[in-house]
Amino acid sequence: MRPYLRWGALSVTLYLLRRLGIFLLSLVVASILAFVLLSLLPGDQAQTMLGVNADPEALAQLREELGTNRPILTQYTDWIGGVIRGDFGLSRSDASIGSEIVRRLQVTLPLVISGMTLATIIAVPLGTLAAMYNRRLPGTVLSVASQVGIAIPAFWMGIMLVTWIAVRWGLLPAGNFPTAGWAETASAVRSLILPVTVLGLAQGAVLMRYVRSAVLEVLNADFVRTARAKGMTLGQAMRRHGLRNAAIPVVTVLGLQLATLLIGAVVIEQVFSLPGLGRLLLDGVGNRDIPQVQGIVLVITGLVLFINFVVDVLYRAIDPRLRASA
Amino acid sequence: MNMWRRVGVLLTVLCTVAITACGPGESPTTTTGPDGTGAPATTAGGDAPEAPTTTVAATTETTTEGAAASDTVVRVGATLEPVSLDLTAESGAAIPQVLLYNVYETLVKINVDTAEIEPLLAESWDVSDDGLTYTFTLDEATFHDGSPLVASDVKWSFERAKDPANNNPFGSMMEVVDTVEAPDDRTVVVTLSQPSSSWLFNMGSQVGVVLKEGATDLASSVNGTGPFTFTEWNRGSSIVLTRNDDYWGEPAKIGGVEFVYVTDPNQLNNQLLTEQLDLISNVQAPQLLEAFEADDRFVVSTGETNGEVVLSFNNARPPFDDVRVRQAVRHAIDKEALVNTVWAGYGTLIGSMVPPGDPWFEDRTGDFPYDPDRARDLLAEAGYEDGLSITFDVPPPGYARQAAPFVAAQLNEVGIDVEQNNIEFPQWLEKVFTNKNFDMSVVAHVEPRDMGQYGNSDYYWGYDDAEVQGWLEEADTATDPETTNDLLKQVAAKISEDAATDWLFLLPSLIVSREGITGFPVNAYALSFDMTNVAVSG
Repeated sequence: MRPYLRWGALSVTLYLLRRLGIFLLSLVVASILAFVLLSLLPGDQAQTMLGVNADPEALAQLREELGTNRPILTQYTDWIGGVIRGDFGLSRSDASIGSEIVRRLQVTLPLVISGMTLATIIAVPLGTLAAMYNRRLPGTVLSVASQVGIAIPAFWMGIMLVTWIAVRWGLLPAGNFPTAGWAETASAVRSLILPVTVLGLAQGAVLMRYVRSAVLEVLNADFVRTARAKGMTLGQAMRRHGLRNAAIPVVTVLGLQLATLLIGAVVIEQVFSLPGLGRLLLDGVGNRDIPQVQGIVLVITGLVLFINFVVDVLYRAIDPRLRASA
Repeated sequence: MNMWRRVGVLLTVLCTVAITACGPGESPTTTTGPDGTGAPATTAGGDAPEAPTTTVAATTETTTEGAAASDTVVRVGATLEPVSLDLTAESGAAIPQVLLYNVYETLVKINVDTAEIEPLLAESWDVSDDGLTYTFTLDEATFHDGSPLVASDVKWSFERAKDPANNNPFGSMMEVVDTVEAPDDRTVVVTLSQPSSSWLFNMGSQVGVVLKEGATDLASSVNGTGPFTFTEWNRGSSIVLTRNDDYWGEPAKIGGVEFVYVTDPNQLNNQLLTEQLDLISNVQAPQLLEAFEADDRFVVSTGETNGEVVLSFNNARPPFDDVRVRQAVRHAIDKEALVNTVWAGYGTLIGSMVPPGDPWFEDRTGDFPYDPDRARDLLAEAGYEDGLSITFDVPPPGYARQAAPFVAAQLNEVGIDVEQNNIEFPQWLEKVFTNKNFDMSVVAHVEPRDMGQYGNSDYYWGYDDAEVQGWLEEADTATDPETTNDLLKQVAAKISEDAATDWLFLLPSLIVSREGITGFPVNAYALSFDMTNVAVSG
């Protein structure tokens, strides 16, 4: 018993260390990639600052002052040095990039997390029902509904909701996150209701298909048949054995959706005029504000890797076989 | 029935806008069509010349009598957010829109409705007979930090703008200044190295802003003399200005202004419809105006701007080094149909680089009437009877991306095969503007009185005409306005005749406001959204 436990603890530690190593390496690679790709884009910050009246000497001088004419490696090491000390630098608008990212995350994270929560609440029960009533009327109706949900673009749904609920009936604001942020809790919440609904419905429709096929697979699995042979009803068999097994692919998709949405929510942010992270990234790219883009890329990469890590840990929690094989 | 049809049309338009607004991979605040076709509204990316379309201004003319002062904060919607607050370091038009005249002031002010020069910080000025010496008498103004405005502040600000070490994007407008003296606190004497008819006018733009002597770090500290003080900037959403109760002149009639930045034109409209905004400073989707015109809660006002939508040709290389090819293009495009298609019929047709507000304006739209046959003949004369192929670089703003397919189709009619490249704004600056590596492009030039660029042979369109350069020089150094106007009329006629570029139309100033908001200008002849006379009633 004892040696087994020790080995177990060691393997978990090793596993975590390996994950941490991959995590840090990915961060570095992502930041280098972003830096290089951005500097390959035509046009630079000096040019976008001085505009169409700039003369070449002024441009050269401004590049000198901004330091954008230095070798790219020097620019990178300077920047990463600051980041290691916890300083993300200043954006072109003279804001601290670190605190600006934090401010934008206060919009994007609640939006994405509530959206995905809503998606899960919709998708898991409906997807399961669709599977259990497969090839019967309720199952078909649910499948069609999910297909329609996938086919409708999120921004279109957003516009419909705004047009009817906000403009026609005046029930909720058309986006417009309060400038005071979460200090004005009530209006902050109200401004997020429609975007979260759109996100939840759109992602829920996708997720539902995965839930349905995962459950379908489990329904036909030998262990469910065995459980039923032992006298359980289908519902009991599903609750005791089925859902846990169906959860693995669903958790994978959930993790992927969450990761994509951190930036992908920019579509919703635009439709509802929310000052989120995606919009900050777009602005940064357009202004050729390299430090700002870098900061965001780093934060996003970190979050995505963190989500993947959580998904991995969840796998092990859900499926003991994975724990043993690690 | 009719209403349902209207809703249907509106929804269709909304959807188009949204599709384009969400296209991936575009520049910052830019919304564009996936392939540049038919996408209505757009907001400019980056922030230089295309920013035009967001420029609006206020008027000193619109009467607001009877409207009592109120503490209401007026919420103004706009699509293009400033990149920085430092209008001496950044060229973006979104910055002066907020800060010029509202927060920072200049010696003279350009009336946004009439383009006339009016006193602001200078209560009066004298110009010597040789046109070289300007003596300004300052009004008793105070900065927001409480210190009085003195002549040395003006001297310091002007010298700062002129010094190339400070990288002022418009510093070249100060090149003609030889010395600035402050003989006493109320008097500023500016001596020019040669007479300049444009200098005083330029002093009404952001390059002439008067700062507190020794001011540093303008991006984070704003100390002006204007009727509003800067309160806060919530990046990504809004900029708040508050009435300056200690203003030296006539105080503002509203409690403040909140400029709200909404990148999606459709969302901008919705926010006004749901009364989260009081006014939209420049409508980026004229196709959507119908929704407001039918609704008596709102007033739609249409005026003119300085934003000439220039279809530029690379005069320095084939095929556009041949004047006949350029003229052929001018004949080949039906401008009226273009404005109707692209900008819902809003916008003024112009035939040269002069908006109707300039004193030397002449209607030149008849120079090259729509005549595809004539265009084909000119191309044949130039040796292109079998047609030719050109590239067309198109930056993101809506007017450009929507006009491009229309232009391409019409050129195709006369045998010019157009390959359209949609590019981002920073890329446009590098490829077209700096490296001059293009055949044809389109962008709005929004600076006031910017015809002088046709005298700069290094400018991106590479138009090099000794006569025009001479006239422009002469016009600027003339001390008599009549001479200046005559010479500039000649320039306008010559660049039109030579088809140095083509001019698609003049961007309109389209403002939608809630009923009861008054005092904003109809035109936008200066790069300021001047809120100094705005009042709220009811």
